[in-house]
Amino acid sequence: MMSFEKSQIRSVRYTDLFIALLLTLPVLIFIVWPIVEVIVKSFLPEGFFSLEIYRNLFVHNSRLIFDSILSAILSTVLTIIFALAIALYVAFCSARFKRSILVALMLTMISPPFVSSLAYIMLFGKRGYIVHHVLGLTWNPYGMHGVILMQVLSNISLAALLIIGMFAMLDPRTLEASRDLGGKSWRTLCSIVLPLSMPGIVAAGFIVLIKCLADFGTPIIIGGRFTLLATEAYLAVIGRGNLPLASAISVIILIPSLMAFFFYRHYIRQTHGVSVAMQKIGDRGIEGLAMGSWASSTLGMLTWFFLFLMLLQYGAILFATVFDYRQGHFIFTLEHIQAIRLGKMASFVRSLCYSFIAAIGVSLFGALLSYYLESHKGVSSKVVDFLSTLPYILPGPFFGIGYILAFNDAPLALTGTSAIVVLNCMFRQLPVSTKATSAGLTRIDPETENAATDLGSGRLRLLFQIILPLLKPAFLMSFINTFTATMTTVGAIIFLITPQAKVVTVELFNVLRDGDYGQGAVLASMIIISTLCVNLVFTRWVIRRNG
Amino acid sequence: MNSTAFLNIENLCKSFAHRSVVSDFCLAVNQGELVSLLGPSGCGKTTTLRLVGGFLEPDSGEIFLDGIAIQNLLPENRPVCTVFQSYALFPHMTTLENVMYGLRCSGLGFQPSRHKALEMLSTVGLADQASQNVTRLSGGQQQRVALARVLVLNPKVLLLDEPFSNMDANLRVQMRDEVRSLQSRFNLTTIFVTHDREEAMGLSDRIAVMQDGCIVQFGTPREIYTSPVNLYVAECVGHVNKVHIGDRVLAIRPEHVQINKDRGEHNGIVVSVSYLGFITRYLIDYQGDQISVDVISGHSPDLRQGEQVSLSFGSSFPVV
Repeated sequence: MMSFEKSQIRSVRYTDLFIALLLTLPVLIFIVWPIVEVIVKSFLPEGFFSLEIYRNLFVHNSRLIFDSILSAILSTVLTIIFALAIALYVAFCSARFKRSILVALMLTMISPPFVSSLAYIMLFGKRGYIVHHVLGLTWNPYGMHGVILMQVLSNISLAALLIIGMFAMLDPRTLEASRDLGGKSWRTLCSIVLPLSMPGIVAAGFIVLIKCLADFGTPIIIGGRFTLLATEAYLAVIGRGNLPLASAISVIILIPSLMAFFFYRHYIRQTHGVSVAMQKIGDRGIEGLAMGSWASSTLGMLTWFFLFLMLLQYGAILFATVFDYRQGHFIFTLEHIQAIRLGKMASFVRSLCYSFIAAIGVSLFGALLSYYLESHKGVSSKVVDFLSTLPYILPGPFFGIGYILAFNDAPLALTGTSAIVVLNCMFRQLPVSTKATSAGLTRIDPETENAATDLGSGRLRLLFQIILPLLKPAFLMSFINTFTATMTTVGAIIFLITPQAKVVTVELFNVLRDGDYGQGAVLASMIIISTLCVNLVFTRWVIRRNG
Repeated sequence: MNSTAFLNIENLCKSFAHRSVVSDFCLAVNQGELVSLLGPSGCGKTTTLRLVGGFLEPDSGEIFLDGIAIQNLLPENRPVCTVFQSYALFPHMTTLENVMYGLRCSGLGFQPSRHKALEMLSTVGLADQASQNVTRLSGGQQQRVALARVLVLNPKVLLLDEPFSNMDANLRVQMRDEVRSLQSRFNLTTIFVTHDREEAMGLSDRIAVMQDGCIVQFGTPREIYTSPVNLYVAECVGHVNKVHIGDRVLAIRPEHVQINKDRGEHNGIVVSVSYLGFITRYLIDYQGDQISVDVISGHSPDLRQGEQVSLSFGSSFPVV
């Protein structure tokens, strides 16, 4: 009897170890290894240690580094200012407006890369409709101001939604207390709302900063002669095959991202008590805080102006799919759609397939990994948890170049396959998936789990019959996120696809680079419409399932 | 209408999505008086408090404070302060900053505010915690900060929204005494919302028992307990036995039933005996009615389960 129990316990241990390996090995192979490869390559370009590349970069390209940091910071600050204004307006405005603005922000967040740039060139470019035709001006939209403008426009929605989310978590009683003690709206806003939302605002800023630093495409399309570090990394790989240089640049871009990340983690730890206190009740946020008419109309104007720009942007793109602007007239044409149907339909279908596979794959893996980490608290779990969140802060090019370096030769020669693209997209979205699941898991009462084990269900049965069904909303969230991200990403996978098997975002990037804006408009519209449909269908599903 | 009252609430109505929560609510509170709103959850007591605090707008009705209509004033302009159930302290500020907040809002300078706030903190016994972050204080200390924060503003009316519900039993009694002594020391007109009968009885000058958004009975704790207008009120402030005698139903409090082994008008059977410390509670089956009887433990007869006993009923009131 005794020996039987012992052997049973031992077999449980081996199963545990096997599961642990099964879950941590992919994290090590597909996240840690590529990162290590990039760093190693930048310091050992020819197989031995050398700082030559870094020296060159800092000595001869200090201007490039300076420009990159300056423009990223400017973009971030401007984005946060606009996002904050919109978030405040949403908090103060009536419920009817609130709903429509939220929907508009969510729709504009689902956007393929470069749509702002595309619309901007069509409307405000050298031959742009508004600038050239309506206003009769000639100006140069290209350069640093263009890049910053585009980065701000494409990040405002995301940042505003993050900040609105933070406001919604505020304890409405705290704000009532402030007013009760005589705090007018502005004082309540400045002394209570903003300090308590700081973690969310900083988080939003940090996410925007990393996105701007990693953005290599916008400068190519709209930068003119203005260029940034990420662009140089891209050109080093695609144009010159200079992987050591690209690696070194990626490492440099990573440094500010890492700093932002650690600052954020530190800050969050310090204000942990605050966020817990806020999550206790918060459901209604800062609703009902009346604001002076002057302030509210300023915020309102900014918000509606932004939404107008977005409308203009998407309108212009849809319009440009079937209209050409030639000699002062708009001409209806199906030329662009025809061109896409002949040449680029396969890429679009391929993108859809990749996105589906990556979304299902990472949602499953993320759920399992997160469940394992939640139920095995310990140092090693913490390390794996940290490692699995790394892709969140990795600039796209870094992650792409890492995959080239890691999977070019045996033991895992994946270069040129579809697998490398899908795996890259999967592991890049892993942090979102695990975080969604662990948020879902913390909502599950541990008693439920105990009750299930108590009733004699085995571990696997527990997982599949109790835990996974309860995690369905988290799973769907993760699916939607990864699908959308993969459909609209270009940063990492542009380094991994082959000319024979392109994806739709890369096609979009190429036609824009070549100045074929009509085809660009068609591709962008296809991405927007298909992603939107999947989002709507699955969001419906989540909402219906949640009752 | 009591026109001499300090706080006069007249015909207050509030509904949410066509469901009436507060209907035709009238209450007159004298200066320095502590009045409890007592009732089960959903009876509209918290909504009433939020209407007085200014966090909700009434559909109709008026609130007069010291002769002035205040129902249209924003919370920041009302001389009414609330201590919230969750205390709603500002988690990013120190104890002192929390207490100073209202003073600074009123336009008082930094040094005078600091001075007044420190004074108030020593009144509530928290002077040594002034520079502590409020999230690190214990539950009782947090409650004192919440009180100090409003007392320092010298409000005309203090509103307490179930302020003891997050505390364990011992702390609850201690804080109750503290609140009462602060309230009488500052002679604060106070409205106190609770569903705890013991709290309401122990703390209030008068109790307003609420049902479905209006007051069923308003009186001193003794009046409410000894002469409730109906069974609902009687059950709100204590346990009552419903006893069928002939074709009548009587309501009798557990301490008004006497049990003896043999002397008495009625016969019953002991169902259970529970020793509760100060009192012993007997559950007696009397012709199908389960009657609880409370006896002070030292004076309790030695009865066992299943034993036959005699009962006599003391003061009772008919159930309508």
